[in-house]
Amino acid sequence: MIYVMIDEARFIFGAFIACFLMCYGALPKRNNFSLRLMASIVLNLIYLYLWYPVYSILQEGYTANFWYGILYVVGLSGVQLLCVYICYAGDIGTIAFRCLLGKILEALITLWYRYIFVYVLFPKLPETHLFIYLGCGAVFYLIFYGSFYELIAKKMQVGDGVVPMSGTGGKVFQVIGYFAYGIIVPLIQIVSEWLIQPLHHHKTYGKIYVFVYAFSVLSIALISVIALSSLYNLYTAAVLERDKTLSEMLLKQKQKQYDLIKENTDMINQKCHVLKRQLTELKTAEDEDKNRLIEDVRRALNFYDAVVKTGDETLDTILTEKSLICANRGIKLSCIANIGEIEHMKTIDLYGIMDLAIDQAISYESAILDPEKKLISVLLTRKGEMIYFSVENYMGDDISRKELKKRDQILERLKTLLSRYDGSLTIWEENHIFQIQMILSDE
Amino acid sequence: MRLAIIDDELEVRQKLLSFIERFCEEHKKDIKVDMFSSGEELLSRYEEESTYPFDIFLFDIEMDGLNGLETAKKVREKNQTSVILFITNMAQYAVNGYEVEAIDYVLKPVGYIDFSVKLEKALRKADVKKPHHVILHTKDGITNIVTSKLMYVEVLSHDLIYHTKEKDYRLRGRMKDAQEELSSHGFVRIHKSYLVNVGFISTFRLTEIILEDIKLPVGRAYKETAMEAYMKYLRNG
Repeated sequence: MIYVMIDEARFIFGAFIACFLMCYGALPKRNNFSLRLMASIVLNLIYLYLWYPVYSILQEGYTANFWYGILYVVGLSGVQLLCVYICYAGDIGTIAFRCLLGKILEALITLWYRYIFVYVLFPKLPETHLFIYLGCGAVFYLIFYGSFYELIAKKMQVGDGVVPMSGTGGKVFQVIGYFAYGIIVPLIQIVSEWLIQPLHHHKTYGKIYVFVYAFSVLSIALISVIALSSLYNLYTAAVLERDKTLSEMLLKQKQKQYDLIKENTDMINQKCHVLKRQLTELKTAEDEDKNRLIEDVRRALNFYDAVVKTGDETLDTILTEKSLICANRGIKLSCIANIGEIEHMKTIDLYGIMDLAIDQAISYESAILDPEKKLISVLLTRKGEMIYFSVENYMGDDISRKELKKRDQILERLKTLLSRYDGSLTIWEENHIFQIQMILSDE
Repeated sequence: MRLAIIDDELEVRQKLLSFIERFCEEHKKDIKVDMFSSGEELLSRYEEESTYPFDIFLFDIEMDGLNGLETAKKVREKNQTSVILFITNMAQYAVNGYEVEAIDYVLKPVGYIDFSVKLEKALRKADVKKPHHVILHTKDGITNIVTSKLMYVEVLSHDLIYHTKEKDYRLRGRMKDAQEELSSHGFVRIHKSYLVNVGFISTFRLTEIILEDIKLPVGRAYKETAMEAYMKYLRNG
């Protein structure tokens, strides 16, 4: 009996470790990860304790009792899915996808170790030499898990949370797939171990035992390998799709940059023509008019005095670019920003946050006809260990549904970027002013 | 509310005054305005005073002699809490406006809508910065403390402990009452045991906040409201 319990522990914790192995490095850990992991181990130990009564029922050998076995493995799948879900941050579909990979891995090891190595070559090993059985098992698991991790799991850490099937339907499908595998493979195992195996010494049915046993082993192997290969291919396809989307975004950005440069160049040319004309007028102007014309020229030159110095090069580049765009579109941009160098934020994330927040304001203000109402205020400052960033823009009485939808999408993207730095976002709409406030950690 | 306009151009001063009058009529506000033609005039008029009697200052940056930024620095030596707005032709000076904790700036030529939006912001901030006092009845007697010096309030058994930088004050009371009194003055409940002055928050994490060097936990039920209140303070304060 002891070896039965130990073997069941091997099965439970083998699957448990495999599921965690598939999530390691691929998904972020939740807060208090160690405590959650301890709780998961305890949960699995409690479930292991339930194996004894189920084992006793299965020993009776009646077909109806095998439903107890099925119920047990479905429950175990549910418990292990829950354990991984409480330890790693990810949606249930992603967790189910990775746990399924873990289950497949464990099934393949059980196949090789228990059903081929032990049952075929050393059937009495677990009963007579338990420690050797466990030692060999440990070696098998180490080699198998290590190789799987190096060859497959690491390649599936690329994605930054990429899942093959997104959306509610995809998540449901992945959860169903996980439980389906969790039922089918154990069902085959239960049939061969509990239904067929007792017939081994039977005069008539003993002859078919070998064939059924071989068929079971082959079925498990085939299902597992096909499932593993399909899941891996689905994953790599999803990563490629994500890369394609990123490339398209970069291309759009490049196009946007080009349009901006062109807009600036056209505006500079226009201003140069105006300045040339004003300088010509200056030559022949009377004293009275000269002062007015000099003031006009000074104002025209101030247009290009848009260079911003905040102490951080990335910020300077972004804010200078935005102030030029605003100058081109007749938008009054006021900017108070002096926070020195930003040390812990990735440049691309900083650029992304500022670009999104200010661009949504510029996009809205560009459509306003009254030049007096084209206003944007930017504030960037430090509050202790945090960076505070605020963008306000004038808001008219009517905002179209299209604009609202676009704004909501931008806010969602900002929240995603901010979450990488424990950041928060709030919006205010008051007295014709729309304000986005963001706070994030620079630790 | 008292406001000072410091600009060397009479036309601009009069324009700003008319904007303020229009703003007061539209928003039913009462703002008393004083005008100065130079930084030197403002500084010399109140040289003997320990503080300037203004809640809001509107400085033109480009003035002959002492420019707006330099004048603002001198004003900050006596008035740390007054609100400062700049009027300028040139954007790059406004970035330096942060040195004197200016809240914003208005680009010339000044338009009414731009000005009114910034003035409203200035009034909101000036309102928040008004000192508020809380009277504490402790065993040692009655103490009057200004809320800007009160870091947080803690509940321990049936007592409330008011923590300031210099001293702690312990008295009988209920957190609910303290919260009612202080929540409109920049205090927010972050935990069943703590009511915190958001002005002292240096770091706001998901599960804890840091007040200078004191860590306090944030209760799950209070996380959202605490963050909302903190953001509101950053907006107005």
